[in-house]
Formats: sequence, structure tokens, C-alpha cells
Amino acid sequence: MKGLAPVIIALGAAVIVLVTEAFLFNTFIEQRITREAIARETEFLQGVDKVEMVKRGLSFALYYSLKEALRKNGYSSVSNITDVNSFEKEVEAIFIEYAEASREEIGVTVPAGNLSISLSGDLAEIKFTSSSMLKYNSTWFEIFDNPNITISVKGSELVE
Amino acid sequence: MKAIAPMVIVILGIMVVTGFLAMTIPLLTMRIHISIILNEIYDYNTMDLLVLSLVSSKYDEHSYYKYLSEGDTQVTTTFLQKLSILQKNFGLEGKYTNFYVFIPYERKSENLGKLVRVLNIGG
Repeated sequence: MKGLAPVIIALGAAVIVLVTEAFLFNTFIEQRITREAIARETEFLQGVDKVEMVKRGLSFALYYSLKEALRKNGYSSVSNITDVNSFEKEVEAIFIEYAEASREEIGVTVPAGNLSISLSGDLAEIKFTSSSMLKYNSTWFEIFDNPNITISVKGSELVE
Repeated sequence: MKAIAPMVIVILGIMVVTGFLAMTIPLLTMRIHISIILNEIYDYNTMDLLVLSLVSSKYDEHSYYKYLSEGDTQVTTTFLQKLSILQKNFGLEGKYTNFYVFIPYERKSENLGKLVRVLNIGG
């Protein structure tokens, strides 16, 4: 009987060690899976929020592009614009810089598109249209949104 | 045989208890772990949504976006006060978020040559 006791104790200890190992291993694997899932969820939400930030800011980027083109040409108002076609090109070139900044700083790609300006006295309507989509790229997902915007400028002020 | 019986019972008892703990403790810790992180994600996203909705609302004739991007200190203070009330209502006191704004072209040089400014909003 006395000889059996150490065997039983060793057996009990082995069982405890095995169960503890299983417990630690289980916890480790589950934590890793959860962390990965949560990291993906966070990344996705960040992507959605960034696209929304760019969408809301795009009309201002367009307005600031127009304002800069006005300043470069020494115009105080859109009513001073004489050659709409060349002015459009200037605005577009500045707007492309904003699009580039969006891609580099925020990670949201503003697609190439067509910029048009229609004038009516001191009121200008500026349209940016593209057949492609606004895009946020991640390693495992992509978010798309419509980049088309239209803004109105009275004199040199944005009409919101 | 009589002496072995209690030992077997003790070992079986230890196995049952440790087995039970091995199954329940990871689940319990995981549950706590997940709820804490999900809460953080929820707070983060809600904070972003609060800022996004407030940024689009108007102050006088223009949206807050314009004032934030142009760096109007007075309106930014009003914006932060409004945001602080919203944060209180949503239990998000002390939380911050990054908000990206396009800045006026003439301010590019003040912003290290960049057309996007990152605002750390909240508190």
C-alpha cells in the first residue's frame, strides 16, 4: 500500500500539470484569435471614419483650390474670371495636390476626375465628377465611396 | 483497497476541480478581455461619429469644419465646449480622437508643407 502512494501522487501531479498546460495553451490561443479579430474590427472602423472625414472635407479642398487659384490670378471674386477654361485647369492642378495629400496623409485615394466651373455673375458652381470611386485600401479590405461633389461660391466665399 | 479509495476520490476531485477551472477561467477572462476591448472600440467609434456630426453642423453661416481647418481659435473653443457636452452625455469624458482636415492652401507653409492637418480633438 505504501508503495502505491507515490505513484498516485505522481499521477495526480501529472494530471494537474497537464490540465494547467491545457488551460494556459487554451487561453493563449483564444487571446490571440480575439486580439486579431479586434484589431481587424478597429482597422475597419478607422477606415470607415477616415473615408467619412475625407468625404466631408472634399468640398473644402475644392473651395480652397479655387480660392488659391483666385489669389494667384489676383482676382478678388469669381466674377473677375475671364478665361474659365484655363482657370479650371489651375483649380484642378491645386485640387490634385489636395487629392495627393489625402492619399499620403490619410490613406484615402481621391480618384482622377473632371473639374468644371460654371459662372453666373458673382456666383460660381464648381463640380468635381469621377467615374471611379473614393477608395480606402487595407491589406484585407477596401472601402469605396462616391467622390462627386458640387460647391457654390459667391464672390470668393463658399456658400454652405 | 480501503486506503486506495480515498486517494482515488481525492485525485478524481482534483481532476474535476482543475478541469472545471481550466474550462471556465479562460472563458471568464476572455469575456472580460473582450468586453473591455469592445468597449474601447465602441468609445473610439462613437467619439469619431460625435466629432464628424458636430463638424458638419453650422456655426453662423458656415460649418465648424471651415473654422477648424482655418484655425479659428474662438470658434474652435466653442466647438470643443459643445463636444465636451456631447462627450459627457455619451460617457466619453477624457477621450480623444484624431480628425483630419484639409487646410487652406495659403496655410500650407505653416503646416510643414502639408495640406492635411491632424487635429487631436477631445478631452
